[in-house]
Amino acid sequence: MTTTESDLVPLLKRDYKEGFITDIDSETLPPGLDEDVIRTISAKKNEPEWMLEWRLEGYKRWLEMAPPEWAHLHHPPVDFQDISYFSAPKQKPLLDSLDEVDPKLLETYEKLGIPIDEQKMLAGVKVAVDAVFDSVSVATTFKETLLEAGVIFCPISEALQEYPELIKQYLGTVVPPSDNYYAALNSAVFSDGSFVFIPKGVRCPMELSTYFRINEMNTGQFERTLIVAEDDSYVSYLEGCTAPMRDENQLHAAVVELVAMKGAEIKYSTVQNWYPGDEDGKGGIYNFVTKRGACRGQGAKISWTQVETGSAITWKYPSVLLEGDDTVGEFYSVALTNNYQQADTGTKMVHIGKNSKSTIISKGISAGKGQNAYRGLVKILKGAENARNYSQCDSLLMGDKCGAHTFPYMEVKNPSAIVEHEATTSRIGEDQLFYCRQRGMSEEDAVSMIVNGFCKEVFKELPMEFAVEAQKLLGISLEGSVG
Amino acid sequence: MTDIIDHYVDQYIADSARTSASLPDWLCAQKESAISQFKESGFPTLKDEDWRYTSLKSVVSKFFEVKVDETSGSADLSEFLISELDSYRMVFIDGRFSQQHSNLPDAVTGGDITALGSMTTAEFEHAPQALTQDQTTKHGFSALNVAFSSDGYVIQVADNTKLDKPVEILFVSLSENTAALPRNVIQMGNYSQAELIERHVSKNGLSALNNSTCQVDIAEGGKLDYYLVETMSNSATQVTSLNAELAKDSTFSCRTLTLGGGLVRNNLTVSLNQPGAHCDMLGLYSIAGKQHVDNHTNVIHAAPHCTSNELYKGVLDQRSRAVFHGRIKVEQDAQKTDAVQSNNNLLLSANAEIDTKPQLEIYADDVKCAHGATVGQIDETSLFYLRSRGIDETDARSLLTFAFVNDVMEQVEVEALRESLSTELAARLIDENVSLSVS
Repeated sequence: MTTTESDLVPLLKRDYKEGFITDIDSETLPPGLDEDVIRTISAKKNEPEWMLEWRLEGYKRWLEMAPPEWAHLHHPPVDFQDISYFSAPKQKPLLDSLDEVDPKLLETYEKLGIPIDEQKMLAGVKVAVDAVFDSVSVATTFKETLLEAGVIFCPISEALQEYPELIKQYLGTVVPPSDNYYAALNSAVFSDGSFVFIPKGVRCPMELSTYFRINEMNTGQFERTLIVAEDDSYVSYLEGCTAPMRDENQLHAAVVELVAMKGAEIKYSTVQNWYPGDEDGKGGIYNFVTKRGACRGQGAKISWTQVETGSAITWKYPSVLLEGDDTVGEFYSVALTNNYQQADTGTKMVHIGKNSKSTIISKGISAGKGQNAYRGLVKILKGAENARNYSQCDSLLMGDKCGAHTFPYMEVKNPSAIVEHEATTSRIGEDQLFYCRQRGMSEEDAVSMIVNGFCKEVFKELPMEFAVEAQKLLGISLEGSVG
Repeated sequence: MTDIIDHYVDQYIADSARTSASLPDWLCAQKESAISQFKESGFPTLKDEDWRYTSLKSVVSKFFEVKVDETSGSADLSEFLISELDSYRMVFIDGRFSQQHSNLPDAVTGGDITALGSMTTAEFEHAPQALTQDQTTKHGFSALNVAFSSDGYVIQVADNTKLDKPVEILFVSLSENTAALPRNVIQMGNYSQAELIERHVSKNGLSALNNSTCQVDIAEGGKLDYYLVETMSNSATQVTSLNAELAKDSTFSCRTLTLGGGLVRNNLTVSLNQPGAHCDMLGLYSIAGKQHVDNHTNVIHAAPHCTSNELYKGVLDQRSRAVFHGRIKVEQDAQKTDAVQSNNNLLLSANAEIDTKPQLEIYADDVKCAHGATVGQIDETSLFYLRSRGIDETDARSLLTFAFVNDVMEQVEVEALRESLSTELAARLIDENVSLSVS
């Protein structure tokens, strides 16, 4: 067998690639999960002893549990021993210019209307330090503004070093490690996430989203977020991004905990656009998220807004525990499933305090072979005098192979409560389409416009710049599903 | 739980040793398969999603005796009869057919009304398909029922006929600690029409289980008005499992009226199998004390151009608890479906509880589906209107409460039945409603 020089070239290239990976390997644990893995994670992060205990407790609980099967989802079982539970943040090779980026990706950015400098950053292109858009310095400026206001906003691992007592006081008080299978797993192995603390009476001077977008985009596989808003404070936080996220990890199990004290308000928005798998349903992210907020004091308010267009599997129920009197919980959701995507999402509103109010607006859009389910619980406990809930779940079906499902649970134990649930299912009418076409719109533009009208109630809850992008995102996600 | 399973299996073995020789092979096969399913599944528990709000502790802790022998004809049942109701009447006492109490002419024009327990070999040969086909038993209760197949009504209505009088079936529980397991069958011929009133009653303070199943088959263009009237005593348990199959252009109207029973569970499954089928499901529950009523409905749209309409209304007082789980499933082929479902509840007491779950599963795109559920109180403006007319608050509230559920009652088309139940409801909600003034 002779080897020519041309044969060697690809091999050489491959060698480089693997060499690169080996380089990080020192920071990656082999796949598998046991106590030692958890000890290693904790040690690597230099965590206090109680934190390790807490993780081990979560692991112990996880071992006793079985993956939930009640959701309207079908997927092969996840092999939890085939996952590596610790790897240092991946270094993306920096590219020299946008020309090297996949043109398809650029096209998407273009359609979303993302500014050119941000596009570079998203795609991992080297941005000159003296560029107009200097992410480092802008981020630093933001950090200073936040510090001045007394707001703490940092990675949770950093917070564990600097504010351990705050973490100890609040972590796991809303979503305890034993809460559910994926929350237990997250408690045991969470890698990083964000910690936000808004002191008494402070109105966070900026949308934390803005900061997020510029500073750090890499979300971990087992993210843990904790937001604490003290009395009469306000914060708006946005997680995720409309830009498509190509993550290598198939399983995501994040936990988000919100604590709102007396008179505080937390607004949490999510835009999720992870890899949904290809047109035949191969690949894609499994997203099993536990999100819950507690309105601890009188008059506290928590509002969840989510736009879910990505992931092959979405299992997510952002909830609110309305513990204090006069508390308010809100849930606004748009979930879109196309091709073989499946979503089982909704909310839980647990009314404990008097005069507590909750609103649920859920819009599900199914196209292709997508399956979209709303699953929600409204629970009025005995002491919740004059509790009020209004739920509305609308589904839009596009194509005859998709499905839209509604599983609302209502448990009412107080006679003064008023609970209402409404749901409708519809499709885009031929007459609506005809009307738009007749006015000179293309079919895709018409569909996009009708869908956006359908979702308007939710989009208006999003921070403005994201609302614009989210609208475009829906249009892109639905491409090819009409006609 | 194994104890209670063995308890029934032992009775099954004794019973089938006695009866199997006289039964056709297909029935023995059904019974065998059902008992083995029961052995495997036992009774449902709170862990079953479909039973999560209904604890069966009171049922599985009691060892009810299944009555196998013929019933004595001496009992006086006059207190259970609705005198104005002119009907063909079949009476079952503790689950066994009682010829003496029944009021059946030798032949009913266009109809064939018999009791399963007294069917002859010749009659078995002409048994309706609804009885002979493979039985789907969804849970332990229906499996147990089919396993015994001890008695029940078997009604066939011939093609193109309309029964001149309603058929009334009275299930009476009289003996302490018995389990009645009536297995019922209705077969409606092409373009036939009938009204059927199934009433469940029991002696006061009696601890008994009534576990019935009903298989309804409606052929093309057939129309069945079916009333399930549940007024057993508050110490009794009632589990009903009805399965209806609808052919082309047929109509099934089902009204479930629950006023009595300690623990009541209704499982109604309606399959709209061919285009043009329509089903109406109306439900009313007015409960108090520690009553627990659980309504499970499952409407399956399996063919295009079918319509369904479902409305359940309930009033809950004292420590009562109601569960509503309505499921509408629209299959992929069922385009042009129009399905509506709603459940409205009124809580009158701080200790009452309602758990409602209106569920939609839709796999077709050209459909109109809507569902809604509410839990609330009496409308303040209506109350104000009545008060401005000089009616005191207690009376105004009770009148409005009565009106809230009575609109379901008004859909009862058999006048004598409506009058009788409406009077009972009014007595319960208007005159004797003490706790109204408290809330």
